[in-house]
Order: sequence, then C-alpha cells, then structure tokens
Amino acid sequence: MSEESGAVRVEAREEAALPAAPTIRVRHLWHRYGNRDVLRDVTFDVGPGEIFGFIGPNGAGKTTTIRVMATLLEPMAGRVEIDGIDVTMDPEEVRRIIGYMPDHAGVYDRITVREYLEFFADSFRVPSISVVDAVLELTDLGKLQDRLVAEMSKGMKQRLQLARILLHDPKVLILDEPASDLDPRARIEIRDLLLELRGLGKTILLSSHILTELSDVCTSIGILERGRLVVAGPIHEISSRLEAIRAAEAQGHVPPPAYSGSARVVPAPAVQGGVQGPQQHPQGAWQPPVPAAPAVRRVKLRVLGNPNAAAYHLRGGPGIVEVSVMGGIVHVGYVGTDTKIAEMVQHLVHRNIGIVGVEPERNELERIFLEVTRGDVQ
Amino acid sequence: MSAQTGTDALAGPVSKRMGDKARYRFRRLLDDPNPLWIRELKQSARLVRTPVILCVLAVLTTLLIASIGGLVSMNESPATTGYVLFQVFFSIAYFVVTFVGPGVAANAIAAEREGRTWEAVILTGLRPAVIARGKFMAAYTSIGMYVVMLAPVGALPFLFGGVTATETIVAFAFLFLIAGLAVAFGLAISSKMNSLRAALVVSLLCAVIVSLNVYGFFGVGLSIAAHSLWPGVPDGPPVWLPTAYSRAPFDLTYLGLLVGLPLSLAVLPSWFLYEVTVANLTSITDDRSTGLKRWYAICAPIFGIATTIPIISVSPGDRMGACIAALSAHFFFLMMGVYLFAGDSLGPSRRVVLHWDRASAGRFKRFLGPSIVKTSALELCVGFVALALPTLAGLIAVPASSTRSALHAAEILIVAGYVAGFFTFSVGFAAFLRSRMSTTLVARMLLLAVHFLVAIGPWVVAAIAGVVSSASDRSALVVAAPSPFYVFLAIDALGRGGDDILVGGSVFMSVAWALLGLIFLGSARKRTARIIAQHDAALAESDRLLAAEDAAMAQASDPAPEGPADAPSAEPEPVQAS
Repeated sequence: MSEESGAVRVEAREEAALPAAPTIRVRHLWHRYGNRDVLRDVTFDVGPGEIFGFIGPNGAGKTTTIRVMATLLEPMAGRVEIDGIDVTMDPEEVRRIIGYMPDHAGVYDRITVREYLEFFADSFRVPSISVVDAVLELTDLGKLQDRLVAEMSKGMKQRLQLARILLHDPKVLILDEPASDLDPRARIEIRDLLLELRGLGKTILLSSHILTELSDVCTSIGILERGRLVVAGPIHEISSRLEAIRAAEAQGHVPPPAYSGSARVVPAPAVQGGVQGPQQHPQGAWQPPVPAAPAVRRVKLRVLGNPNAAAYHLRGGPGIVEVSVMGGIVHVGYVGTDTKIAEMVQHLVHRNIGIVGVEPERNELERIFLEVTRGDVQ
Repeated sequence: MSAQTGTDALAGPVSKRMGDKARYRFRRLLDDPNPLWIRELKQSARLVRTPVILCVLAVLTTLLIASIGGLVSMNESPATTGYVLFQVFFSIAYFVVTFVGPGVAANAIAAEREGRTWEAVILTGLRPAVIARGKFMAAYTSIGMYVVMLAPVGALPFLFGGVTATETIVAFAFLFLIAGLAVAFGLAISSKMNSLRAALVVSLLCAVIVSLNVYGFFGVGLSIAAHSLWPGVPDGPPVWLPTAYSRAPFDLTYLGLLVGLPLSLAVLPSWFLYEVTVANLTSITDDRSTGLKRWYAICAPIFGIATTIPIISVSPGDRMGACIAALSAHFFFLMMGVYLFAGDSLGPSRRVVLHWDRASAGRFKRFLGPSIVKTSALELCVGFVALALPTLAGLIAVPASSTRSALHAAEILIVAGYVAGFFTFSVGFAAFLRSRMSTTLVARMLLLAVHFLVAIGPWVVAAIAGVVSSASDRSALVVAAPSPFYVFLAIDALGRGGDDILVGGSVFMSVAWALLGLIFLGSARKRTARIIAQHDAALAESDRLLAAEDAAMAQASDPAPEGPADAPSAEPEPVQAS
C-alpha cells in the first residue's frame, strides 16, 4: 500500500515537474504564393493560458500563418498543432477548439445581435440556449441584443465578432488585428476583454500593428519579417537577451555565431509558460543557451530646471546603466526593482532638483521590434 | 436544440425502421431546421423591397393575363381563351422562375464570400452538404414566394375552361420542380464564384441561354413529337406536358415517357448540381470526388435506359434515327463526364486516408475516392455499360423493323464503335494531362483545345486539299477520319455502298483512338504512381525529422539525474543529434 502510494506520489511529482505541453505548436512552416515564399521555416510554440502577440510589418506573413492555424489554408510544408491536433490532418476537430476572428470580417447586417449569435450557436451545435445570454453578458452586448447589426459601430461589431467566437467555448482564440480601425475607447475595451478571457483560461494568439497595446496584454511575442520569425518568446526574456548582446558588443566581445553580422536575435523555438527549450537555429542546428543578463528597465523623469544637471547627477550611480536627455526629459536605464526609482528621486531631491513626473517607459516592445527587424517588406 | 427556433433537442429515431427514421427527419426539419435557412429567412423578412417586387409582379401579370384574355375572348370560345391564357401564364411563370431562381441563388454563396462572412460559417464546422442544403432551401423559399404570389393569377384560365383543375395543379407542380432546378443551377455557379457580380452575370447569362433552349426544345419541339404519339395532346403549345397526363392513354409508354423520363430529367440534373455545389464548397484536399463519382456511376446507366425508351417507343420507321440520336446524346454525356472528372486529384490526401481508416472504409468506398486513375477506370467501365444499352436496344429494335437490317446493324455498330473509341481516348488523354499539369484549369483547357483541333482540323485539311467539294473522289475524305463528325460520313458511305475505304477509315480510327487512349492512361498511371510515391516519401521524411526533433527536445528538457555530481553514469550519455 505504502509502495503504491509512494509510486503515485512520484508520478504526481514528475507530472508536476514536466512543463505543460504547448497549446499551439508551429513547426517549420513554409508557404508560397506563386514564386514568392511568404513563410520560411516559421517555428514557435504558445503555452496554455498565454497571450501571444504576433507582430510584423505588412506582408510579413502573419495572416498566412494565422490562416494556416485556423484551418483555412494548407501549408506547403511544416506542421501546425493546436492542442496536439494537426490542423492539416483533422481540421474539423481543430475547428471545435479554436475561435478565429479575421481582420475586417463581415457581419450579417439585417439581423439583430441576438439573432446573429443564435445563428452561430445553432451552427456550432451549442447544447444550451443560455450560452447566448452568457456570451452577451461576457462581452457586454446585452443592452444591444435587439439592435440590428447594421446599426452598430465598428467597435461594437468587433465585440460581436469576439462574442461569436466564444459561443462554442474554444480553448484557443486566434485574432487577426482585432483592434484595427477602432477608436481608443474601443481598443481599451477590447484589450480589457482579452485580459478577462485570459483569466478564463483561454490561450490567445493575436496579431497587431499597435505595439504599445500588445505590450500591455501579451505574455510573449513573435516577430515576423519577410516570412521568417526573427524572434519569439516572453517580452522580458527577449529584452534581456538583447541587452546581453548589446553589453557583449559594447565590451568588444564577439557575439555568438547566430548573432554575428547583425543585431538580430535567433528565434526561440519553444515558449512554454516561460520554460525555455534549447536555442535552435532556423535550419535546425542546436545552439547553446544565451546566458541571461539582468533586465534593464527604463524610466522617464520630468524635472524642474536643467535636465542635463539631473542627468549629470544620475550618471554612474549604482545600477544606472544609461542616462540620456531627450526633449527636456531625462531617460534612465537601470537594473533593479522599483526601489531604485525611489532612490533616484531621493538622490535628485537632495541635490535640489525638483521632480514633477516619473513615468516608466512601457514601449519595450517597440524597442525590441525596431532592434530585431530591418524594416524590410516583401 | 435550436437557439433560433427555441426548441429543445430531439431524441433520435425510435427505431431503425424507415418509417421512424422518416418521422424523425421530418420532426427535425420542423424543430431543428437548417440554421442557414432560418437566418436567411429572418434577413429576407427585413428586406423591404421583396414584398414590393412581389406585388408589382403579381399586378403586372394580372393585367397582362386580363388584357390577353379580353382580346382573345372577342373572337374565340371561352375554352380556347382559357387554354391560351394557360399557355401564356405558365410561359411567363416559367421565365420568371428560370431567370429569377438562378439570380437569387447566385447571391447565396458568392455574397457570403464577398461580404467576408463565409469563413465564419465554415469554421462553425457545418459540413458543405449542410451549407448547400441551407442555401438551397433559403433561395427556394424566396422563389417559391414568387410562384405562390402568381398562383391566383394562374388559376384564372381554369375558370374559363379548356384546361382542367388537374392540368393546372400539375402545371404548378412542374413550375415548382423547374424552380428547384433553377435554384440548384444558380447555387452550383455561386459555389464556384468569389464575386457576387460575376456570379450574377454568369448565372443570368447561362440561365437565359439554357431556359430559352429548354423552352424551345422541350416545349415547342417535343409538343410535336408528343402530338404524333398522343393525338389528344395539341402540337405547338409549349406547355404541353401537364395536359399530356390527362389526355394520353395510360400504358407502358405513358409510364416511360410521362413518368420515367421527366423524373430522371428532374432528379439527375438536380443531384448533379447538388454534388457540384458540395464539391465546390469542399476543400481541395478533402474528398470532392465520391459524390460526383457516385452520381456518375448511377446516372450513366439510367441515362442509358432513358435513351433506350424513345428507340423502343417511336414508330419502327423512326427507330434508326432515334438510335443514332441516342448514341449522339450518349457521346455528349460521356464527354461531359470526361471534362467533369479531368479535375480529379491524383490521389487521396493523407486527411482523406485518415478519415477512411477511421470509418473503416471498404475497398469500394476507397475506389470512389479521389484518384484520377481510378476515376478513369470507373468512367470507362460505367460509360461502356451505359453505351451498350442504347446500342443493344438499337441492334434489337431497328433490324426487327427494317428490311435492311444488316446494314442498319452495321451503321449502329460503326457509330457505337467510334463513340467508344473516342471516349476511351478522351478519358486516357484527360488522365494523362491531369497527371502532368499542376492546375485542373490548364488540363481542361488543353483537352478542349485538342478536342477542337481533332473535331475541326481534319475537315480544314480536307477543305484545303479540295477533297470536300470533289464529287469524283469521295474516298479522299478519309483524311477527315480523326474527327468524330466523320462517323456520319461513314454511315452515309455504308448506306450508299462502294465507299469501303470511308467505312474502313472509321473502323480504323475507332481502334486507333481506343489504343491511344489506353497508352495515355497507362502513362498517366505510371506518372501518378511515381508522384504519389515521391510525395509519400517526402511526408515520411518530414515526419521522421519532426519526430527526431521532438525526441531531442524531450531529451534536452529532461531533468538531470539526482546524485553526486562526480558519480559516473551507469550508461554512456547519448550523443546530441545536431
């Protein structure tokens, strides 16, 4: 008995130690339109419960990748698995567990919001009528349920699209530019809704051009350029790796072979809830893992008086990595926690420099994007 | 459960008996209807222009019928007036449903694609067949409303006399049947189109051409044949079929020509259009072939039987002509099959094979699946069986009624032989082209070009050589033997006698076409097998690499074994695969 329970405990411990299997696995994906390769060996994973931001310039291949995931396009080569199911082999099964919202999707105009959702509930063979009410409540469309779809704003139509893909309670949501053409309020509402859905355990993959918004919601990102995935992984890890490269280059060290010739970061093949697999080159050659450098955080300080004086006092301080003045604002890169900000403020106040504003720089994603992409379009 | 109708889920049929199954299906239609149908009805109900159009149409038709009735009744008896109005009304109604039906249906799928709602629908998991049925029912309901609005006007002629109530009811039944065909036709075109305008233009153009031809041939044309067969049916009026049911004597011919033929003429095209729609809505790597091949396998023999009926039914003197006409009709039917299946896949995709394996599909089901070589084999087998029916009927019926029985039998065999030979060539060549072309459109276009060259080219050569106009040396016309039209020259030569070379040319080309077809088919088979083997090898290699990568990843993510750091491992460490 004790041996048995011991064995069970060991198994349970082993299971707990194993990383969760990725919900979305994209492996060596290739696709071609005519003579043009639109996807070249794209490989990345998305772990369960993550919000994965898919970023890239126009024509980079984001929508093609997404359409392959949504079973609407068959790749020339490679494999995509959603929850362990091959999208090419078993699209019907995959359709049951995904909710796909295309960019600029159309809606039926001459029916009401409720009728629209009832139609899709019937089409999805949703077992209970109450699901429509639940989805209306979740997406906050209850008040508009009797309104004709034609009379709704763009933002509300996007919300309706989101409601549609939630009807069959999919595990995975694939959203192609969900906030495009929306006003700021609608964007914020969509963002909050996505966070709420993540709270419900959904795995979300969304593509967008609006990097600041992605950085607010995404747990990890993938950047695609000219059909190649140039980087993938949690934002802070990518940031750390870039910092490490930058630091190594500043000290005259030759960057690892994969980085030589450019400031590019190799794709991270596995992003499984923060557990990083071995580094792999796109061609499949195994690469040693990059040593993790402490993440550099950034803050903007608005000061009374001369900002250059404030910069002078901060330069060379403990944990301060870089200081610059742009447009009368002091930009500080530092290593450490929020206590470091308090120390900086205290330090400047002691030197009679008034602080009127402290604002963390949040557009880390923009920096990453600009650093790893070349601005090439195809 | 239907959220749209608010009804609860239905339990399955009480038993496996046909009656219970039919009852269950009917209850499901009422309580759990096709979601697309219900949604489109709701959308249509909010379209303001529909009732206006319906009212205007009904008023205009009433005015027209009343005017014609007034004019005709001045000189004719009420019975004649009623009959004229009956013809006018159902002719108008025929054109309304054959023009509006495809137009309404063309809107169905192309509008969804253009409006970018299509992807949302297919991602719900609705099968293409369910989508096709929903769209059909929605369009059919719309066109049905037109017929219902016109019904009171259609009953007016019945009040004058000249037509019976049964004839009016049968005419309305045919109107609904034609409406169904028109909608299915529009839907089949719509399923292929991405643009609404293109779908509308193509549907309407085709609808105008087809409906005018059908009206002329099956209406006015066949009324003369019907009159010769049943003198009670007047010759000339296009709407003769509803009247024939009450005016023709009930016998075997009645059953064959008034029940069998109209049924097969309605069911087989409807089924074909349905299968085309479903195939067009199905992904190219799914099984798009089984439905169409099943239709062909059943339809070809039925078509064979249908074409034998006139051979037996007509007067003995006309049987030879009926037989040649039946063989010619068969030739066109078989050629249509060749073009239809020229777009089949080289072989089943992995997905299709997986579905077959899951469903434990038998050999016959797999035979009906995607594969250009198997399709060609099916085409040849079924095509020859179907072709044999009118040929045998001709060989039996024509010589029995003719003094020149041996000659007629030879004529029938020459035509049937040429049809069989050229059909074999076309099937083999289509398979050959398909195995070498990446797109089906190119394969079909090349096939069409070759057919055109073969049909016309030899006559052009003959004309250039001056043998067409030369009355002295008819035998030189043998240069035109490769053209299928040459067979008519051969049977003419056989009738005249003395032009053995012309007849011999026809026989030679029949055999040559058949041999060429078989050679092409053999080549297509080899090439297809090689392509499929290469494809399977590439997929197996890809699977192997992905599996190796998985194993390497699993190995890399395995936690290090616990124990002293310097303790030697029990087994040598595996080498990391690069």
